[in-house]
Amino acid sequence: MSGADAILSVRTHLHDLRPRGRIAACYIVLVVIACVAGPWVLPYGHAHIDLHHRFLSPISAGHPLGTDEIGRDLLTRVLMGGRVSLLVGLASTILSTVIGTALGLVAGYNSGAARFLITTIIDATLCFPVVFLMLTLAAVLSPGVGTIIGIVTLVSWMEAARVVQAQTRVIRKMDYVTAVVAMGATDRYVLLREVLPNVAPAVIVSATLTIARAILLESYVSYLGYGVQPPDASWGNLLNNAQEYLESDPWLAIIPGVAIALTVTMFNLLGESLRDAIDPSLRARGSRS
Amino acid sequence: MAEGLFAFAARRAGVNVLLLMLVSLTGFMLLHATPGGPLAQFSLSPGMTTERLNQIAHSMGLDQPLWLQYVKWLGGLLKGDWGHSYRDHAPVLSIIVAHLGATVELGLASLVISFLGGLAMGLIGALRAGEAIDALCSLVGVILLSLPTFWLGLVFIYFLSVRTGWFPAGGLMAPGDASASDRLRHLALPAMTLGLVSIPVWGAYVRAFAGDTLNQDHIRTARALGVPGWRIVLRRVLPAALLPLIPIAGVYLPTLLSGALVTETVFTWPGVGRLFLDSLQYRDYPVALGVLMFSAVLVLICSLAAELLHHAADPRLRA
Repeated sequence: MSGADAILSVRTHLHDLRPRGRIAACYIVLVVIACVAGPWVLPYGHAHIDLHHRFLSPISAGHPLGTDEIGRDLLTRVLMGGRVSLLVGLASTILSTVIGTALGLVAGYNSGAARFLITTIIDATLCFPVVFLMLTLAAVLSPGVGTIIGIVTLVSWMEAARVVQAQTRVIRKMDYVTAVVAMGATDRYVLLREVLPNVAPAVIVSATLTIARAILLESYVSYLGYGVQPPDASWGNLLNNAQEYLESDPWLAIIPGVAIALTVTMFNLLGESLRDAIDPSLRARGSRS
Repeated sequence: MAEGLFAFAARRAGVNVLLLMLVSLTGFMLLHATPGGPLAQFSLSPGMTTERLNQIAHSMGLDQPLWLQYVKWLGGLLKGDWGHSYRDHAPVLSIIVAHLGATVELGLASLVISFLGGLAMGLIGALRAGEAIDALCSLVGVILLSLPTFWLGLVFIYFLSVRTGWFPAGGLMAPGDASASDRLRHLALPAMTLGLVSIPVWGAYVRAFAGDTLNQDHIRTARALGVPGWRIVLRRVLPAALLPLIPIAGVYLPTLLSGALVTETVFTWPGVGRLFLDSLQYRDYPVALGVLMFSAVLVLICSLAAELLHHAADPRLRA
């Protein structure tokens, strides 16, 4: 199977996407457009301070979602925060998927020291509670969007690596692989032309679920003050000091949280629907593990 | 593969020792990679001279080669000497143990909530597979899985504490009130927060394992013989679905700890998670590193224990 065939097979799977998967895909497209284009369209800069209009409640004139403690427009802030959160989610997912897939291919194809080393590193990384490890790294490194992308990558690559490793181990024992090896194919050829296209659908599913998790992880670290730093906004750090104003102005806490919850839900729904479409046997069993 | 319980335990323990070495090396390197290294806290204090700083470095053994420091630190860990806090010079291990109770309390309470919720959700999904209620359960599961823990906590605080006054907004107990009901009222919101977001973790596994069991011949036979549905679930499906959950309980612990950190922060719950965050803020690296190591060891011990228990409980793994 060539790379083009693999993409074609994913495309035919898309026709099997459940309605909830389609809704999720539409939502994601809309959110990305809103976050990218929205701040240009809206009249306020995300750092535009207006001390005469602090703590406006939602559905105020000119401020659909109200304003924060120094009069910044919350809708603009949420959309700007969305840019950062989505960027972190996407960038760290691409990085961790590439790293995880490469390590998974190596570990699944070899049976000696390489596999042992990689699986041991995976297991060791999984020993740490994720948020503890992320906060330690964030405390060591200087904070910023690049740093948080790196940190999220560092705790997210294992998922793709495990999926790819397991699949590679199955595929390399298949008859057609034995056949091309007998015909003199090199390891490189087998990995890139036979194994990789066949693990691609599983990688796409795991990447979609990883985006969801990455957005959530960024929000945790930024909420705790170790991620994206003010005045830059991210969905996590918008909630950073919202707890102070919870009594008087709960919207400041509730609205950015809804943005996180909704977006992460949609990525998870899309990932699960993709998995069901690609592997109908899972739908029959209803397994989500 | 035939493998006795002892051989299995020995093999797993061997791998775990290797993992611990890797984990401790990572932790040690992180501590020394911090800006200013372990001396950061001291160099910030007023009137500090380079000379005095060098003295401290010497007394802490920081002028020795890195590998020697690592070996000494590792030896200390094994002997129970985890270093001293920069803040109050109390031994790290005793500080951690002092904060452990609150986290265990929160963890167990949320575990009960999430396990019972997951059991109910998974069983309903498996028994009504393909029906509307199954789809609803899986949708609710995805939503719960996607909620940011801290946000759910804030929502609970706002609606169930600020607006209604039903529950306290944070803390372990009211000052001067040691009654059990007061402690439970304080526990309710954080436990619910942490418990709810973990329901789908259990629900998904119960759903899958129960679904597998329901498809087996002995269930069909029992059904054909007219055994009541609840009896089949209670006697046959549940035990078979619970057994493979044992090793997952071990894997689940890191997730629980991460969730506890966030939940403890929102609810000012004096547990290990908040201790960790506080010590990071104060650059109290021995304590931060201690908590990191402690949780890694805990995770390894628990996953090993869970695997052994599973091995002992399921004869098929030994045959």
